[in-house]
Amino acid sequence: MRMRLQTLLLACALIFPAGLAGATERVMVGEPDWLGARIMANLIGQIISGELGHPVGYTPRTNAGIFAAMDKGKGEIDIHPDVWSPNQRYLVELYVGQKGSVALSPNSYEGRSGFCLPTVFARAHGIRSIGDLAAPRLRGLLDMDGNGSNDIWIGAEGWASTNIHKVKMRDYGLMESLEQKTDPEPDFLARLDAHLSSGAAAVFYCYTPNYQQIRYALTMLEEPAYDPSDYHVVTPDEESDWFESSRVATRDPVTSIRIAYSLRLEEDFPRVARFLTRIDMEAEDISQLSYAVQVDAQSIPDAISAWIAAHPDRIAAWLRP
Amino acid sequence: MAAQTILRFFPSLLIAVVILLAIAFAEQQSRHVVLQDKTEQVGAALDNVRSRFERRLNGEIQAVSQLAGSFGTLEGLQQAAFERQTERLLAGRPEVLRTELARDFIVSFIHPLDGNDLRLGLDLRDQPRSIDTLQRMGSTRNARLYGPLMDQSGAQALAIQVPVLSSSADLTVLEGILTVLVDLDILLQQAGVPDPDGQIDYAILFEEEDGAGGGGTVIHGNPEVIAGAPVSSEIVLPQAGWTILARPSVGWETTRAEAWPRWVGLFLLGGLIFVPALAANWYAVSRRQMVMELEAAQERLTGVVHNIPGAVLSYTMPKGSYQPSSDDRIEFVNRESCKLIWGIEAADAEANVMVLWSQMTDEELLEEFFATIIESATSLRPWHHVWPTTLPDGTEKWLDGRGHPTLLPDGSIRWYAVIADATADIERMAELERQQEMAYLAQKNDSIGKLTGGVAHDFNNLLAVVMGNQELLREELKQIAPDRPELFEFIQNTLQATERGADLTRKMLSFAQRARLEPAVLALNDIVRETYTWAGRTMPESIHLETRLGAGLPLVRIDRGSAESALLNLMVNARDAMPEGGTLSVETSTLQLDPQDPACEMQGLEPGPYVRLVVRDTGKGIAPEILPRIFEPFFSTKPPTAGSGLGLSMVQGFMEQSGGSVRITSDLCEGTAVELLFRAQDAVAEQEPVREEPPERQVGKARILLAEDEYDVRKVLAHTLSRAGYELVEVPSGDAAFETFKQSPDFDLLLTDIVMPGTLQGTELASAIRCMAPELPVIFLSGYAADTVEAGAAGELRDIRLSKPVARNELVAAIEDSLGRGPGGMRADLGG
Repeated sequence: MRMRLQTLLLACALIFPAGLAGATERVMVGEPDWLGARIMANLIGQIISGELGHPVGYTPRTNAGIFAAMDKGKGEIDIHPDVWSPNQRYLVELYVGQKGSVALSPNSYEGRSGFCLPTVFARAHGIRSIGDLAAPRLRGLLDMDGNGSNDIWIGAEGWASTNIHKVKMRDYGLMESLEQKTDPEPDFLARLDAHLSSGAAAVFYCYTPNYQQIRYALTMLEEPAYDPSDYHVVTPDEESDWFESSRVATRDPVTSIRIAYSLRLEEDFPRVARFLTRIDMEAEDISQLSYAVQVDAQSIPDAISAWIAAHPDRIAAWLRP
Repeated sequence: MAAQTILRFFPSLLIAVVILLAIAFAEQQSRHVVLQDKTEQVGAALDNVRSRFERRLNGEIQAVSQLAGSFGTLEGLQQAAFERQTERLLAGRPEVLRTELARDFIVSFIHPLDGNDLRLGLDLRDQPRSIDTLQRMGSTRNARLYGPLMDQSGAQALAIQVPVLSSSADLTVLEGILTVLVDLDILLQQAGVPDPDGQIDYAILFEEEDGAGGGGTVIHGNPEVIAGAPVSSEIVLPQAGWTILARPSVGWETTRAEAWPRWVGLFLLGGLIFVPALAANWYAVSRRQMVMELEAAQERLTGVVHNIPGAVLSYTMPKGSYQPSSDDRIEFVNRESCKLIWGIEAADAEANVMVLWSQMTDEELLEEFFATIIESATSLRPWHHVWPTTLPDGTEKWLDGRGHPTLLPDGSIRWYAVIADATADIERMAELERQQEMAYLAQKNDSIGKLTGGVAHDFNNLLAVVMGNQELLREELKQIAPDRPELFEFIQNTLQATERGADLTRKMLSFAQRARLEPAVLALNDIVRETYTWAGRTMPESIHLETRLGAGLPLVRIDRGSAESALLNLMVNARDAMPEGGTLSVETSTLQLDPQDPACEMQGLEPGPYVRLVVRDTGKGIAPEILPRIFEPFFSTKPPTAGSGLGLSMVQGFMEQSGGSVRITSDLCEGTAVELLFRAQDAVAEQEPVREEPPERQVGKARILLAEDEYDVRKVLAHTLSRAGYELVEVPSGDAAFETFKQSPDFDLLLTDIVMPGTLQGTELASAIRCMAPELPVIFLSGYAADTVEAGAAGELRDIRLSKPVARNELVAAIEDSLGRGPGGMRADLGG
């Protein structure tokens, strides 16, 4: 009897290897270390496990590591939840364009960065573009440290974008009008919250998706359209006179954010692959989820679960056969 | 033609296509394999490079960490000490570009200081790395690796940062940050990048940090590597996650130099397959064509063999055998023809060829045939033989055989022979010979007839002179010596001899079919009775005479005298054939000839009713070999003095002239029967009226122009007619007669010979004169009966033709008739 059972199991394993694999293998989701990526990873993971019934695992990794793991097609990592372009253009070109082992979802949401200020204030003072900040009539209205001069938070020290913003302030001619601040982000955010709550205004570096858009009703100031010829960045590591060597006179390039997945999913988990081609998140969705995590102090899984529960139609559309 | 060639070589084309496809597939597979090999080779090289690069980086990190650990507390550290320590621990590392020690994140020591002194006092927190990171280094004590970045010297460098910690009791204090910039290119060179052999291009993707979350990826090396479908390998370090790429310098595609030997090999292999296939195809096509040609040839040969009017044989005589024997073997015989030719089945002939030859029952002929075969076999020359054979069913045939012998390598003789049924040919040849014989006889008879006719013409002129003079003499004697009857007897005897001579001439002309017959519709039985009555008296008593005359016989149209003469001749011949006595019978009867009757087929008689006259004797008969000659003139079986040899010739001539025929059957020792067939007329014989002697004609006055070239004849005629009371003008030719008539055309009648010297013959003279005197009566005279016939054809129906010699009364009667003073007025025609 025991032998027969073993034989039956062996036969089943031989006849239905894919089925067994599909039933037991996990779909591994890469988990880069920034918030938006972790939110997307968890959203994808919960839908795959909860709606499609496949076990899901999460693997924190760098971009390059995730792409390399997807390229192998062995299930080490199957999904990159948050591929930024053109930031990751080399990886996309390598693994999607050249090797063809990784696919990009057709749908994307946009990531934008710039400088924000409360919409109410902007409307009240007719501020639309970054250049408007140099207007003398605004003197003292955007002063966070109380020294009488307007200041602008251009990002935390150490961020690649912060030095770019230093150059940008210079090239926009705002160095005299605005005092640049590079406090760590948590410190700045704490001060910002208090400042805006008091009814004062502030201008600062912001990006979407981000919970700030939800919390403060911000307006992103207009900048000259992105022009690569006017967007030349030299880092301090590259040159000691990086500041002088750099020129940034346009807005940051708009970033397209998509999902990448290993093509092995199309064979081993076709429903998952189909789902990944249909998922269509908006930047505002990510901002809301970030708000829930950052402001409401929800855990990412809880925030995602709530969001999924609140959007059954969208989930159903993504999972339609 | 081209389409047929393509169709015939379609297998080769198919094979060529298959080979080309196979070559293309093999090339594709080969390229795939080569690509895999290249990928594996490049991948292996890449892993090697990556591994060495990782080891080098780890080594650098360890060295930097060791240097950082060697400082301990930085209190009191001097630049010189820093430099010494740095040189001591990082000696032999050319990749180290710059070493900085930041105390409280402020760059305080630099080595080498030259060229980097501007960096003294630089706050690391201004660097594009979070202060959190630097502080985290203090807590985690982990090294930090980032880059690439550009050194003051312009070199691409990686930065290694390690915390400088000091420990006291259980407290670890972050004293500073040691930053070492290492030359990325030197590190890569030490790892094998660029490829010393120049065959592989490398590039490294470094990842930047960014607070925005997406970070960025920068490439070090040739950016085109990414576009070249590189193989990649992840550089896995605790401090970084980079990707190193590699691809062949010339790309993944097989170069022409690499592909050439493979192509040559593939095409050689294809050629090794295709050439034998093509040869096999060619052989198959050739063989198929040969088979088709053989089949066509066989079909043609079969058609020829089946249509040959005879049997085609192939048979073999064993070695040493030259005479047909049962050892011979038939290898082929067309079966239908075998049955038709020999009347036996081919299988029987194949079992024993001698059954074919044994049908020759005549031993002598068989030996003659075998002799022909033996001679051919020994000389190896073709044989031709015609032989009679008797089929099993008794049918007799003539076979015509031709054979060709071939000596085979084993010494046997193979015969190819054609045996045809030659019976019809043989019969045709016999008939031809018979016809030739008949033609010869006819020609001979014609020649004799012409000769006879010529003699008779002259003879008749002579007889005319004799008869005319005798009649003139008799008239004179009646005047001067009426009391000398013996003189009249002499003259009468002379006239009778003249009559017999004329009769002989008539016989000769009758044979020659030139006798002038005077046919009339008569009852044959009457002629038989009259002739039989007087001729029977001449028969000896030893001959018994019988007559069996058929009743109610149809009338026949014949010349009475000739018929009597013919019967008399036959009776005389019968008598002569029975010197010892016997029975002579004369029979008449009716006979209906149908188209198949030999008389119709052989003698040209028209089918229909005939009256038959048979004269039969019981004599010695006629030998078969001389039977065909008995109608020849002057041929006789009698002694030279017993007959003229013209009897049967005359009879044949008479019968043919009368539209009938004569045939003889004779058996030796049993007798001979001569059968005369007369064409029957519609009327049946009636009682013939009694003929009366014509009264002596009374003559009137008439002026006659006489044209006769024979002087004696002309004189006799002139005397005779003058005595009869006619006025006569004599002329010796037609031309003279015409001139005479032109000068004095008051003639009542023209009496002219037909054949005369000069331009105007008798008939032409008559025509010329009738242009002037159309109503002038003309009487033609001729010693040659055929002339009178020709004259009749040329003249008019009213003209009278007379044959010389002509008696005085007959001539006078003819004149009087022509002048319209005779009892019948003007006569229409003697022949009518």
